[in-house]
Amino acid sequence: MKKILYLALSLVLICLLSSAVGAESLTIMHSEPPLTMDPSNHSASYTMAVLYPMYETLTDFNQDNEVIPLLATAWEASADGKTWTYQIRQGVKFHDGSKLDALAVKKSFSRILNPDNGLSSRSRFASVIAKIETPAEYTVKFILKKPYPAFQHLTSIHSGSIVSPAAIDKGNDFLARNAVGTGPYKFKEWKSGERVVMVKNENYWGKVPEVDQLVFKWSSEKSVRVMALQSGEADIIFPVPPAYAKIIKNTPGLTLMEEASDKTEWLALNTLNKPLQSIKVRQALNYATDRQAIIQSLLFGKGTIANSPMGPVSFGYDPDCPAYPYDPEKAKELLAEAGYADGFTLEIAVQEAEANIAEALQGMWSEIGVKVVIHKMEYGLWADEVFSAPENNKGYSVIASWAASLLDADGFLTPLFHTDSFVPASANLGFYSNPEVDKLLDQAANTVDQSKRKEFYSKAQRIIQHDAAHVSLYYANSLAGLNNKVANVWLLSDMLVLRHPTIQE
Amino acid sequence: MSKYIIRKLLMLPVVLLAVSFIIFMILRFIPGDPARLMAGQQATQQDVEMMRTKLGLDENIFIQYADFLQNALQGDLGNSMRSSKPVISEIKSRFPNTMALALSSYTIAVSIGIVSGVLAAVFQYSLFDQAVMFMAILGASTANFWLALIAMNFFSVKLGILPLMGSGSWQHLILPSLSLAFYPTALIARMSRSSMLEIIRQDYIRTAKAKGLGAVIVYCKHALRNACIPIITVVGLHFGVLFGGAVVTETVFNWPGIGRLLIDSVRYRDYPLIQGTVLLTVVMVVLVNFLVDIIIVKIDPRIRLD
Amino acid sequence: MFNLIKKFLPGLFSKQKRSVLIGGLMVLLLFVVAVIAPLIAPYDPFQQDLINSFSPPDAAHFFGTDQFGRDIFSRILYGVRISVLEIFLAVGLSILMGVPLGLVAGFFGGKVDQIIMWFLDIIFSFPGILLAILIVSVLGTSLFNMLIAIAIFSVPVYGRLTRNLTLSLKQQDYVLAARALGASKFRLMFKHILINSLAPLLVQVTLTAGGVILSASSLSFLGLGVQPPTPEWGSMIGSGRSFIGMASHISLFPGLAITYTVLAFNILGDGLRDWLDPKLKNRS
Repeated sequence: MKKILYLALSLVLICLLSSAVGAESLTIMHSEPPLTMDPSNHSASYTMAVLYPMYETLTDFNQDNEVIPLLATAWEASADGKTWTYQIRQGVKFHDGSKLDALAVKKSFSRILNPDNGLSSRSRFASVIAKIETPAEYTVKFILKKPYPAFQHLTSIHSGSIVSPAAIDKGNDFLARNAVGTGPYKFKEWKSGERVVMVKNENYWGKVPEVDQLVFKWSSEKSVRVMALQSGEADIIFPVPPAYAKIIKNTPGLTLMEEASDKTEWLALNTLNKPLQSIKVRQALNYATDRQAIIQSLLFGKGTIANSPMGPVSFGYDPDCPAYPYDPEKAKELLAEAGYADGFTLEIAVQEAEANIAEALQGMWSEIGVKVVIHKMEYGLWADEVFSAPENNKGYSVIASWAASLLDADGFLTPLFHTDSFVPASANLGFYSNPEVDKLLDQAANTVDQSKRKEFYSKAQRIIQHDAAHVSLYYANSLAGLNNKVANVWLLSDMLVLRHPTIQE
Repeated sequence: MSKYIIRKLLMLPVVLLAVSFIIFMILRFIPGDPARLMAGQQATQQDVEMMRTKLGLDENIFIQYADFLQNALQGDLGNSMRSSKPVISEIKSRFPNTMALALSSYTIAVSIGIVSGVLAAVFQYSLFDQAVMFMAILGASTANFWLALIAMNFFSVKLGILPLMGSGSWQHLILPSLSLAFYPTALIARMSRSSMLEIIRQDYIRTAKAKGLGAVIVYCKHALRNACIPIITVVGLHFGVLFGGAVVTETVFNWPGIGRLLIDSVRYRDYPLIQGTVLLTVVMVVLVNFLVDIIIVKIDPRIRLD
Repeated sequence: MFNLIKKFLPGLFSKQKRSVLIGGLMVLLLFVVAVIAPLIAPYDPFQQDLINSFSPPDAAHFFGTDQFGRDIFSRILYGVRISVLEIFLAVGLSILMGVPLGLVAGFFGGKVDQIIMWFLDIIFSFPGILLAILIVSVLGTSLFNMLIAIAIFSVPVYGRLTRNLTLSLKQQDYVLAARALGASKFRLMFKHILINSLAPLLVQVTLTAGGVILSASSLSFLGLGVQPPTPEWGSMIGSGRSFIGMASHISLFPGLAITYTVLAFNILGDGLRDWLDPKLKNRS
C-alpha cells in the first residue's frame, strides 16, 4: 500500500514538473553541442542556431533568403560599390543595458577585424573591409578594399552579430562563455554537457517574445533524439535522422519539417592518385554512381541528386548543369579508353558518420572493376590526413560535405576548386586545377553586376562538372521534427531558425 | 602497513608529475591539430595559423610544459581551449554527476552480484544457479548501448514513467545506473560464484552442506572471507572502469559526466581539458586500488605489502 | 527447494563431464562454421542490394538484411572467423602481458610490486581512446594493432588480479612448505601459485571474451581494426546503433552471436575446471 502511494506521488510530481515546464518553455534538441557563445569565433550551424535568438546582425535573411533590415533600418552602396552606409536602428538596448549606436557597431566589427583577437571569422571580413567610420550617432560607413557586390549578405551572416560594447571590454574569454546581444532572448546559463538556457528579453525593441524560455539540449545518438520528441522531452529536434522520418510523420501530434538544403555531399577525387589524373577515369566513376539508389537507401528518399558541384540554395547555382546519369556500361567504356579496363585501386578517407556512403560506393564501383579501400578515421586523424600538403598527402580521396554560410557561389566554388585553394591553404582536397575555372572564379569575385556573376559561376560549374573534379552525390534535405504545438520555426538550408517561436494550444 | 600507506601517499604527487609530463608530450605527439579542429573544416590556413597563435601552441613545447606546471602548482590547470572555461570548473561541474552514477551502479552491481553469485555457488547446478549464470553471460555479452536504448524506449517513451535522459533528479539516475551496472554485476556474480565454489569444495564445508542448509549459512561468513580477494579486486578495478569508462552510457543518456567530457575533448584535442581529466582519473584509480590493498590485508592478515 | 526443482528437471548441466561435452560441441560448432562458412552461407556476404535494405527477418533472409541490403545471416557466418580470432588474440595477448607482471609483483613484493602497480594504475587510468590514437599513429591501423590496443586496456585487470591472488597464495601453508623444501622461485610462481589462481583468472577470461568484440566495435571509428565491408560482429552491432527502434534486428543478431560464443566458452571453461580440479576427483 505504502509503495503504491509513493509511486502515485512520484507520478503526480513528474506530471506536475513536466506540465509546468511545458507551458512556457520550449526545448530544442540538436545533434551537437554549441562550440562557443562567441558568434564570431565559429562556423558551426548548430552553434549558430543556439546563438540566433540572442544575437542580431545589421541585416538578416528572411525565409526566402532575401536580405531584410534588422539592426540596420536602411543601407546603400556608393556608385563604385566600395562604400556602404548603414542607418542603425534607434532605441535598441543590449541585454546588459548598453545602448546600440554607430560606435557600438564599429566596436563590434573592430573586434572581429583585430588580428590579436584571433577570431575564426576574421579573414572573411578582413578581406573585404578596409575601414569603418561613424559619421553620425546612428550612421556607420564601411569602406571596402575592393568593390563587393553582395556586402549586405556579409552583414547578414551570423558571424557579423553585433556584440555589446561593455561585454567586449570584458574580453574574449567572457564572450566565449556568455552571450550579450540585442535579440529577443537573453542568455541565462550554459551548463557544459547539458544545456543552454535563455529567457525572454522583456525590453526587446520589437515584439516581446511569447515563449518565456528556450532550452537547447543535444544528443549525438540518433534514436535518442527521436525518443526525446516522442516522449515530449523535446519540442523540436534537429536534425531528424532520415531513417526515422517516416515514424515521426506517422506519429499523431508530431510534424516532420522538410526543406531543401545547400549542403552538398561529395567525394573529392584526389589527383595525386595517378589514375584519377585522367578526366575519363573521373567521369567513369561519376557514371558508375547510382545516386538515386544512394538517396533511397541511405537517405530514405529525403534528398535530391546533385547536378552541380555546389549547393542549390546558394546564389549562382545553375539548375541546368547536367547531372551524370547512372550508366555503368559507359563507365566501363571510359575506363577502357583511359587504359584502366582492369580497374584500379581507389583509397577513400572518411569519418565514421559518412562511412556508409563510402561503403555504398565500394559496392557500386566494384561492378566496374574499381577496388575501393576505405580508411575510416577519427576526426583529428582525418583532418590531419586530408588537410596535408601535396608532399605529405597520401592521395586519399575524401568524402565530405560543404555548405556556404554566405549562401553564395563564391563560398562554394572558390575554396573547393580554385588552384590557390589547394590544401592546406583552403579546401581543394583533390588538387583539382583548371586555369579556365580559376579565371572565371576570379572574374566573378570582382564583378558587381549580379547577372554577370551568375553567368561566370554557371560556366565554372559546368566546366568543373565536366572535368569531374568531385563525384557530386546528393543534396540531403534538412529534416526537423516538431511537436504540433510549436509554430514560427523554419529551416534555412542546414540551420534550424527560431527567434520568435510561438506555442499554440 | 603504515609504512606502506605513507610511502604510497608520498609517491602520489611524484607519479602525478610524471603522468602530467607523459600525457603532455603524448598529446602533442599524436596526430590531430587543435587549431585546425577548432577553426573548422572551412577555415583557411591563415585562420588556422591565427588560432594556433591564440591557443599558444606555437611556443616551444618545453616552455609550454613549464607554463603548465607553474600554473598547475598554484591550482590552475588552465582553460579549456574550446569553451574557455577553467579546466577545474569544467571538471567540478561534471565530477558529482560521475560519482553519483558510478556509486549507484556500483551499489547495484556489488550487492546483486555478490548475493546472487554466492547463492548460485551454494546451490550449484540448480535452476537458480543456471539462471544466474545465464544472466551473467547475457550481461557480459550485450552491447551496453543496445540495452540502454531498448530500456529508454520502453520505460520513457512507451510507459512514460522515467525521464528519458539528462540529469537533475533521482529518477534520472535509474536507467543509466541500471544499464551501467549490467556488466559489472555479471562479472562480480560470476567471480563470487567461482570463488565461493573453491571454498565450498574444501571438505569441512562439504560436510556442513551435507548436514543441511543452515550449516552452510553459518559457514558462509567464514567462507566468504577467503573468497573475497578476487571479488574485491574485481570490484575495485571496476570502480575505475565505471568512473572513466562510462562513455557509452553517458552519451546515450546525455549524462553530463567525466567520460563524455573526455571524449569530447579528445575529439577536439582540447589539451588542457584532457590533461585535467586524466590526472583526476589517475588519482581516483590509485586511491581505489590503494583502498583495495588495505582491505585485502585486513581480510588476510598474513599478507604483507611492505 | 532448488534441489527439488533440480530433481524433476532433466539434469542437462548437472554433471561436469556433460558441461565439457556440451561446451566442447558448442565451441567446435564455431570452428566448423568458420571453416565451411562459404559452403553454408545462403548469400554472398558482400553483395549489396540497396533496394532491399532493412528488410526484417523472413524466409528469404533468416536474420533480415542490413543497411546495404546484405544478408545478415551470411555475414554472421563469415564473421565467425575474424571475431573468434579477435577473441583469442586479444585475450591471449593481455594474459601474456598481465599475468607474469602480476605474478612477479605479488611474489617479490616491496619495491618491485610498487613500481609494477604504479605502472599498471597509470595504464588503467589512461583513456582508452587516446591509447588507441597513439597506437594508430605509431603502428598504423591494422587489425592486429587494434587487438594490441584492446589487450593493453585489460593488462592492468589481469595484472592486479594475479598480483592480489599471489599475495594471498604465497602465504598459504603449502607454498611456504614448498619454499622451505627449496623449490625454485620460478617453480613456486608457476607451479604452485599460478595453478591455484586459475579459477578466478578463467572467469575473467571467459567473461571478457564478449567485451573484446564490443570494444572492437567502439574502436572502429578510429579506423582501427577491420574496415568495411569485412563482416565482423562488432562493426555489425555498431552499424545497427543508428537504427534501433526502426530496424533493431541489425544489431540484435550479431549480439546474439556474441552471446552464443561467450556461453560456449563459459560452459566449456567451467566444465574443464571442474573436471581437472584435483580436489573434485573423488566427487561423483
